[in-house]
Amino acid sequence: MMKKGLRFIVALFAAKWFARTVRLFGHGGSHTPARIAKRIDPAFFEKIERPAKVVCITGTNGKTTVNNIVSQVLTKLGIGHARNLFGSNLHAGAVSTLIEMLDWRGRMTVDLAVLEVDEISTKTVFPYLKPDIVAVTVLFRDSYARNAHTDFISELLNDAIPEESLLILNSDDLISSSLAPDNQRCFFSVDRLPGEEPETTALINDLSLCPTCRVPIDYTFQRYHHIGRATCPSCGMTNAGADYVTTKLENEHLIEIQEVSTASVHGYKQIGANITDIYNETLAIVLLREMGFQPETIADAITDVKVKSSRFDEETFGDKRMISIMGKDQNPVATTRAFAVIGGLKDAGRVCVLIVNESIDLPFCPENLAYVYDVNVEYLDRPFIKTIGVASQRRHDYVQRLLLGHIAPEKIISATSEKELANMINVDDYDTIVLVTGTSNAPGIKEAQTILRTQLAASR
Amino acid sequence: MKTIEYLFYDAGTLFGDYGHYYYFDQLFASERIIRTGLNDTPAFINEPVDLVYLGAMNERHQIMAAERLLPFRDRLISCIENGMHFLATCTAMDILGQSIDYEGKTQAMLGLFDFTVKFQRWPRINQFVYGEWNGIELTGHKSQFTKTTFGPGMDDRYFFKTKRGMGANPTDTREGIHYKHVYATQCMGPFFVINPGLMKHILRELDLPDDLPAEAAAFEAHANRLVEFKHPRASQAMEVS
Repeated sequence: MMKKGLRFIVALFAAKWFARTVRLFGHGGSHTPARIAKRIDPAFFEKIERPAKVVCITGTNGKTTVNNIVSQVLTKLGIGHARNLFGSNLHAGAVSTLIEMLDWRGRMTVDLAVLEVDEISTKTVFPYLKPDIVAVTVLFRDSYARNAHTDFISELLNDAIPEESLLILNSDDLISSSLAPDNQRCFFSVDRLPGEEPETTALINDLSLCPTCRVPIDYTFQRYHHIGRATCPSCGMTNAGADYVTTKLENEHLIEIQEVSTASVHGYKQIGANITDIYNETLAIVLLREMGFQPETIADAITDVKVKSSRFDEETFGDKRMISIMGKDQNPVATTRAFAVIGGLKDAGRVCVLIVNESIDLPFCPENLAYVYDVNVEYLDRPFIKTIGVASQRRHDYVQRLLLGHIAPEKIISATSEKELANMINVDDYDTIVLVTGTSNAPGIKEAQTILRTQLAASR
Repeated sequence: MKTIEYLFYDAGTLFGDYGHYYYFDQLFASERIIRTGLNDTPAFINEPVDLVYLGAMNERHQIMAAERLLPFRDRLISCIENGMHFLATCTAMDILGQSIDYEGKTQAMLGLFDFTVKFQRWPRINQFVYGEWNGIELTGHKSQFTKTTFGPGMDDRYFFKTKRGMGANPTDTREGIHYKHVYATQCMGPFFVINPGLMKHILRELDLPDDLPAEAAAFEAHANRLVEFKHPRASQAMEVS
């Protein structure tokens, strides 16, 4: 570690002062403290004292959820740790998190950091933090503007992951499970669950061809996209044997994880209903196990865990419901998963879906909507979905895509803003309103939610 | 009946290119569509094909695609000279040039057109593109790690000049390839879906009815995009470094 020096102390003071001031006004995660510190001391990050143990969570989707579960369990167990819980997962977010845990003299006050790190930020974060454990949720195509494609992200991670890091990988994902092959690793998997049908209709498959032989891969069970069980008929590449397997769900309240090495099975409270929730919870539990916590300890602590509500939030108003599902901006897989959940809603009655996940909500910054053409809008072509609304500067592009997905024109409505769209809805016409939200346009989404909430409350 | 070939459809699926496939499925519903995988022999080698579409692929697949096509280079030239339509978008266009320099490692491509491509991982360049060709206003988006250098052979074979956004590289507004019935661009998918005027032109060249799926919505979206892209206050998105 580099010598700190006066410049570091000044930078630290300014960053901590800013963070505390911001917190007084009720704001959470922020990248700004790190930016302030770096402005004053460009070598600030290199000088930060590393906690004794560093765990990093990366991957396309699920980082924040896994991080939240792990952190809530640790908190319940009374274990102090640094954590970035609010999705501030870029380089500056990780640094800001560590700044919080430094005392005024620059000494690290915790022995453990659990950080979610955006895949691209791993190239700057990992070389300094040298995580003891790197847990990877899954790798899919993400924002085309940032992440290019999965090959690119895999190469980037291979360069960034220190050779001493233990990897926790999803064996159902043949892309991420191939990362850093020389590293020590353990795998988790979710067995095909009772009654679970394969989803072979998704447009996106980021691993349709074997990376080595370029022949089409045979999927024996395609859970969704490239997630599932598959084999290359030419070279035999296939899923790694898992060390931890989620085997079944008991009466929708308990997941069971089999630990292969000891042939033991342990039950944990099920936190979320969807398969992506189950993957996230499985990874969180496996991560805690690899950190040395006993199954019983985890099982006890996880009973109080609540997943951040912005990912899937449901409110009831008499016999009506409003559901908010995060589609994530410019992320075609997250948006497809959201549409798959909506298309699979049961007993939802008459449904209105409002797509309000525009990434760039500025009139003069034309957003690239290529990702919408990789999203299965066809999953919304259900008889019970009566209306699909889009609110965006680029609403006409969305409408074109919906029509190409054979959505009936009379079901489609559009508006320039989320507020205008919400005001077009008569909640008496529906039993369930679903908002597909993003991460960037929070004010517009909140406006729409407030309008709909008021209407729904009045209609009771 | 026309024959349409989705060349290396299993590799060319990046950056919105699924959109091209289901759009063409609807557009050419009455025609014969051949889906050729990266491990298959291209159909245009052995039989007449009216239109070939090559979609965006990753760098590893670019190299494989070039290796697959190099033995059939002369046949491809002959097909193009005889009027076969060849459409390519985004990274697929790179395959038609002389070479790609992947951060110091040069890989030969098909050499059908006089340009070279330089790949450098950072920054990732994100641009919206507005231009005009043959009286048709065009819009597109780019997200790429590459810069392209046109040789003299491209002087009369580039597609259009951009009025907003980068062309072959930040100092060259010439964009893409247009030669006979080759229409290629480094704009990403679904370029031909979101430029209905161009697609109608290509359909007429193919002697097919020029009705488009969701045509009214396509033109409305295009018109609105033009307003945005032409607006003097419209600013380019970020570069990622």
